[in-house]
Amino acid sequence: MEDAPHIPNQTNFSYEKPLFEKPSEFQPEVDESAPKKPWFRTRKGIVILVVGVLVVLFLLIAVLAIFAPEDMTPGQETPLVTPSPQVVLSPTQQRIKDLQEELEAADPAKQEFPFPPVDMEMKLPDPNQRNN
Amino acid sequence: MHRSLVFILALGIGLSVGLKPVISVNAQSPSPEVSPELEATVSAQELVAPPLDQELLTLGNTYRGQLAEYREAERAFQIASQQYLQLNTLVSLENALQNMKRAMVLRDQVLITYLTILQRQLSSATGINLDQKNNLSTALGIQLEELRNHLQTVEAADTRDQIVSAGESFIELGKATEDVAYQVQTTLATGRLQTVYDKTTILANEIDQTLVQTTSDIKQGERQRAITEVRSALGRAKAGIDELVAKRRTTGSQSNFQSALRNLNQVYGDLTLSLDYLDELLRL
Repeated sequence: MEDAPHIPNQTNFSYEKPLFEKPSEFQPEVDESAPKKPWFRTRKGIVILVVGVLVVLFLLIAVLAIFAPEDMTPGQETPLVTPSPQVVLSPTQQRIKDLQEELEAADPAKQEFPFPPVDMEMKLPDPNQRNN
Repeated sequence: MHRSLVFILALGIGLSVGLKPVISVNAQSPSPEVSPELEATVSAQELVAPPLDQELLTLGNTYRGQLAEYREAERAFQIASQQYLQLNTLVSLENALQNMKRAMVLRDQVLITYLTILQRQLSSATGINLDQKNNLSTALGIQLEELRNHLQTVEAADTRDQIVSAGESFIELGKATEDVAYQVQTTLATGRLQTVYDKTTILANEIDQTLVQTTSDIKQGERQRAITEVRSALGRAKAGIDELVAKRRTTGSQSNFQSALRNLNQVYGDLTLSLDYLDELLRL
């Protein structure tokens, strides 16, 4: 006689789940005598380490960005600060420039002290005159 | 685990704070080597300001303060006047009189300070004919004296009639003060432009002699035409200044000043053009 074909269990529906029973889970055996792994070897520990290092790096970069000199090229000397203007004008050009500045200061449209807006005809009103 | 996280964060912050002074010290560029002569010049300028500028600065601050006080007093007087008109009581009358007196005192002080400023500016101004300067200085002196007398009258006024009379007597005085002030302002503005015109003319002549007339190259024609334009602009400026000087006796009052201002703006434009042309000429 041939083997009976495998018929799946059709007595339960797929959406039927045990309501009040907590399904049992397979628990691996814990060997309490074995030494515990250090925290940094655990998955959480590794994540914390990586995040911590990234935070430290970020803070260092932020501090460097704020306080670092503009030019960090080693071996390059800081240029000497001199009072001379960047664009060197000839004496005649400088005279023209000075005159232009003097003319701007003499602009008649700009009055530093215009005539004060005061009432020249200040007088006491007469209520009796108004009533008459 | 939490302690570990806190430890790492504290380490990061500690490193950042600890490195900050080290990095900032390295970031600071070495102090610039400024020449000792320049340092001495700058120090001298900081310690000793020109006396006239300092006086004008002080007067300007005083003037602005007084003007602000006057505006408040004028507003208070207007309010008190309205109240007196509506209420017509002794209290409202007294209030209006006191406010009027205070406003008149401050008005006189403002005008005295303003004329003093004009006097100082006139004394140091250039480009003004000496006779004209003396005449205006005298006129300013007379107006200042009359304003001080009026101020004394107002301060001594006690009765209603005295206060009202002081107000009425000011009308003519105020008009004369305004006329003198606008004459001085026009003259000062004209003098400044005259000074720039004189210096520009000297410079144009020098450039003409040293560059235009002496050099001979492919751009010689262009330079000749450029200097001709410069002289044309200077000529227009000169004509405008002469017109203003001729009208100076009638430049009092605000309306005349506005008219003079239009001429002054035209002169200003011509001088600006002539300097721009000179600048271009040098680059040819």
